[in-house]
Amino acid sequence: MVLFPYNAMFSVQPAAAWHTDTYAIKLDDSIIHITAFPYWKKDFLEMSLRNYALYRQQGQVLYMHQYLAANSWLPKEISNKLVPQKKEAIKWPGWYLHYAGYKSRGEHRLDIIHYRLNFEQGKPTIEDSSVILTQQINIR
Amino acid sequence: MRPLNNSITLTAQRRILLILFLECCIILYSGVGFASLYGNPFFSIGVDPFSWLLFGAGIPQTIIAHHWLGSLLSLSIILLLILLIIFPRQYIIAIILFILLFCLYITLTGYLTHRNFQSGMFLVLVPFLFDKNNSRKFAWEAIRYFLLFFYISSGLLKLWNHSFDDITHFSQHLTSQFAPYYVEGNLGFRTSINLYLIQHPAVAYGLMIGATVIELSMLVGFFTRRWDKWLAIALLVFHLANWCVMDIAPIGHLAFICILFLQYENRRWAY
Repeated sequence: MVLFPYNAMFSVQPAAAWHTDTYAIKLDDSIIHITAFPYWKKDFLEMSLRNYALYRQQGQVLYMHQYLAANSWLPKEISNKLVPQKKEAIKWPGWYLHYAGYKSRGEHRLDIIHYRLNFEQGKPTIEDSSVILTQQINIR
Repeated sequence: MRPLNNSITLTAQRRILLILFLECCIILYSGVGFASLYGNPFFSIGVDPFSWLLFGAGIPQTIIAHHWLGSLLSLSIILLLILLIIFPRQYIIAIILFILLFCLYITLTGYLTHRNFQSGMFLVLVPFLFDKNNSRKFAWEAIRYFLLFFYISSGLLKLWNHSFDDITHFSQHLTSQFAPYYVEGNLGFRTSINLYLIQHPAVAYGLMIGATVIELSMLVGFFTRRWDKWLAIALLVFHLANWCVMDIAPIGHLAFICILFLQYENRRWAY
């Protein structure tokens, strides 16, 4: 809920004990660093990437799509505005690069990588990584 | 007595607005304002009527699609905040500012795709929406109780969900908080604290109990205002620890917390 952003935070046990998932974007095999940005920008770059990666992994479907499909009382013209337009949303990686400060012109290969970190030994080790999206991107 | 009371109260209110002003400057400067998100084609909102209201009307999408509009609104927020600091009784300015900050909040939660944002940035303006002294005084009381309930509910939900049944509960949560830092190799004192707490679940468990005690201690505020200053200090410590241990900054919420200091000053000087 908008008015209670802290409410149930950290009250429910995470599903995968001592494992965590995170995402990163690589441009021509070089990882795009986001953690040195000021807090809110870093938070944006982290959370929006995570949600976009999940969106693409799930075939461009968000929870809102499922909710709206099950609750069809909203007029179509309003419900359409509650989810991103698929044709537009696929342009998000280009926007992200620009936002993260990458302005090197020309053709680049962009990969969205899913990492699974394992903390069982008390230190993070990359247990698994997989490319969930690869695309050629032209920065103008 | 009346002019004296009013002038002291307005000074205290100006301090709250000044904190909000600084928070807004930090947020906009860090690059997550309306204009900075220009052209972003992806958002994800929750099942929440407040988000539906604005996104259903296409307001955030329209703002994000026009750079000039985003810049104008961001600039308006800063200018109106300055005006409200100078003229805190001007409720018309406060109403416009409240709408703009509400729009900013909904836009950021939608485009950040992050529910953990800071609602205090617009809630703190609620008392300024009223012209009459009594209405404004009542609104200060109302948002004070809301603030207290906000944290108590968070503590109660931890108890309700049996968060303390497993001593490793908090350590397991901490594994996700700095994951991008580990992937990038950007290590420092906060990642060291994070790793220490992951390696020592009993210490992390104690810290979580401490945090929950702070959240639940807000219950005191329902019975007396005497401890408001200490409740505010406890919340600031809680948020500072949140930033160190969990990488969750309170910027956007500080002015809202500081109303507990204001109530203290009001009780002492104005009421």
